[in-house]
Amino acid sequence: MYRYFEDEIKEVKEALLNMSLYVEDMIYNSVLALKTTDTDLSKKIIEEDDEIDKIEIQIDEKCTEIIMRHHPLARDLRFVLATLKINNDLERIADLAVDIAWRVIEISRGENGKIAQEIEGMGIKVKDMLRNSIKSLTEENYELAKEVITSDKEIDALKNGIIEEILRNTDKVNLRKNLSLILAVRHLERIADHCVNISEDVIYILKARVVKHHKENL
Amino acid sequence: MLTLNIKEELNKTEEKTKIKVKDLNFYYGPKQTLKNISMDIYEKKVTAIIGPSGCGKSTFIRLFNRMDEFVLESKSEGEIIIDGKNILEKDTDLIDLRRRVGMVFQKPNPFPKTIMENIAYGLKVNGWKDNFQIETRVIDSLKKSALWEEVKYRLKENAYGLSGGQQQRLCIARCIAVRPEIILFDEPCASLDPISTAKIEELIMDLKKDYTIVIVTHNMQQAARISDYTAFFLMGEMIEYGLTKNIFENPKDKRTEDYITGRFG
Repeated sequence: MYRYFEDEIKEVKEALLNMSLYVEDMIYNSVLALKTTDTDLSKKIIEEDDEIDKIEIQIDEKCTEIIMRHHPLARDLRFVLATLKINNDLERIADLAVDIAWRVIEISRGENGKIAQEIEGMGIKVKDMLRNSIKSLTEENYELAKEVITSDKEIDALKNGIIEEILRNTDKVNLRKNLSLILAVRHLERIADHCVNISEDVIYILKARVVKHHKENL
Repeated sequence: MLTLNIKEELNKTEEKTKIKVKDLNFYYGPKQTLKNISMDIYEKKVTAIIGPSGCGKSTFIRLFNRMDEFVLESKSEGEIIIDGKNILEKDTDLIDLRRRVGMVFQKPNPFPKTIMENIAYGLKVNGWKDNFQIETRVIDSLKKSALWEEVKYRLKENAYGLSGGQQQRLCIARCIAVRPEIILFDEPCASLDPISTAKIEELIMDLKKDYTIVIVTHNMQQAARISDYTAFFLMGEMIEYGLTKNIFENPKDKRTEDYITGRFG
């Protein structure tokens, strides 16, 4: 039976990986759309969300089936439990990318200049965080998962810096637009938080250690 | 009636029916042990029959190759149609039926002969004479039952020298040697350890590519692991039948739910 069980676990892992690649693109496209105020690209991201929602349900169902059929234990149990949560995080990340796309539609025209470039830089960093968090799962790499968790500080600092800069340049005329920019930065920072959650779950799978709310356990 | 709902659900799938059971009743003397059972068993799928002891599940599958013949004062009513023919009719060729519908029992029951002879036995009964052909088929059956690697240098040894798990796989090899269409398993892992059980389960999953499999099991986890369809029997009645996923995730009948969640009685 074990061979069939292994195949099913592998299937779930691959589905998570595919989903994360899809979500990564959504993050990158959202900051790209922000830089170029590309509303068409934004609409595309918003539409893609339906696809992610479908995959999320499929992964949930597959995990339920694995629990029903195989009653996984030890590391396998941790994997299935954590996968359910990682699945949820990925779906939330996709929602946040969609939120950024909506901010682009709000801004709708005009150049965002230097700030947009900085947001793009932050977006790429956040996208890499997602990539590394999933990579730490597929490669069972504890160090990499740890790296993702510690890099969150850097993202928080970036967020604060960018928001400060936006505020400095805010006046009555561009208040509305700048508010959208601030929200976009905030969405990115939330995505990073979800990547941290994923990495915490990866550490739970690998080491059976709960590092959530207990960074000293890292 | 519940069965109607289930039938609707089953009709949605595009499975091919291998065994069609229609209004089946069975009596041991005055005692009715199977009550009005109707179900379709699908080709090249694993169908599990679960239920508490004495619910009639073994009686039910034993009818598929007419093992009831060995019980005095038993009586069956209704139909069991395999490939268009009702096998409960008097004129059924039982030797041919039992070749087509093989069976593996709770306790491994090899013959007190060599490993080779055990598997060749059914072929010889069916009139095979060419030794080369017999040997080829024996080897093929041992490979298909995942036993070959363990016994390839021991074919001339007595089958009783094998472990319980190996004996059970030998019985499966003996069963598939005559190329049946349906294999009935009556609690095949009841007397085996977890590792042997895993091997048999893996084997059943492999075998379903070629055979229609019906398995009676007390072990609900086993039914959940390996079957595509599950039927729940209680006191001679079939309470619920459907996709294993549905039976174990969302049973429609409270009695099924109580049984699979261990709240029975």
